[in-house]
Amino acid sequence: MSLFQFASPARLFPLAGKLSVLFGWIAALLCIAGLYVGFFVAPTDFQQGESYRIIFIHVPAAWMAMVIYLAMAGWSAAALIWNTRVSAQMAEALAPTGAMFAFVALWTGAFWGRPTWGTYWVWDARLTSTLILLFLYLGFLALKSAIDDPRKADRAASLLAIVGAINVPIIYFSVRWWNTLHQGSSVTPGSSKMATTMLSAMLIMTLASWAYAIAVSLHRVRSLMLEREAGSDWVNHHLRHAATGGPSA
Amino acid sequence: MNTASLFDFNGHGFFVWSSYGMLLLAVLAELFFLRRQRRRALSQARQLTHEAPARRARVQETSPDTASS
Repeated sequence: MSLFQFASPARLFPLAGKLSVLFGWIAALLCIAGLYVGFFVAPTDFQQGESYRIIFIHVPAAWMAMVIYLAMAGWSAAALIWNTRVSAQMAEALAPTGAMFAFVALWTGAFWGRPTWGTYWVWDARLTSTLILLFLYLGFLALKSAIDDPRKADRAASLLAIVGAINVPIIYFSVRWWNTLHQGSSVTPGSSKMATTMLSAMLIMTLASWAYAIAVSLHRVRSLMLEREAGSDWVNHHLRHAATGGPSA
Repeated sequence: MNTASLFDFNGHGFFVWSSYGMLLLAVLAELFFLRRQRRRALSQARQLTHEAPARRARVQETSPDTASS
């Protein structure tokens, strides 16, 4: 069995439906476990007190905003190189979730910054580059909806996504390249400055965010496929089977 | 951690709950728009599926091959 067979919307559609439900449940269970460990097991931070508990959503949201953008740029590159419909639809399906995570990272960062730095916002390299990431997501979505021809819209938005990917390493390394108010990385590959229970809660919430992003994106790509492929044989087949309660195409 | 300190968070409750509250709102909003998009896509697809046989019949009626035969 080749993975390339899932480049066809007719093949990916039923698989995406099953995976979306599975990852949705995984996300819900991990979220409950992560919040339990974060609120009831992890101790109070000796420097920041209780406000540090925002870390359990702030860091996963910031990581997901960057990872989803890279995935979106990857799908966009695939759409430009191989001209596959599914690649462009996957990129489009990821964008709203990435924008949501970027917004949550900025919002929670502001509400964590106020008690620790004394301000909600500063034009610091890390914060500004994350704001640019949010604008890139919004620009991608705006460009998609501004162009009537879907193929042209895919190409234009794909180019924007690929060019904008340069912002992701800038966000990641901003705390090393410039003097910023934002703290450096608490977790780097192979080492951590955090207590084990704090780190566990943050990593469980990160896994929950991954599962949520996969579930939601797969659910959204199914709607995009229905919109784009409406009237095609496989969509008609799916609708007939859905109406009779049989297996979908 | 008891219930009172869970809400108060040693005076940081406003900041912590504003963050978690916004995450909840953002997720709920995303799920709402996701559901709406799915419904719209399904109704659009159903409409095209129902119209397809009638459209095919109209095309056959008006095409020169069918008309001449």
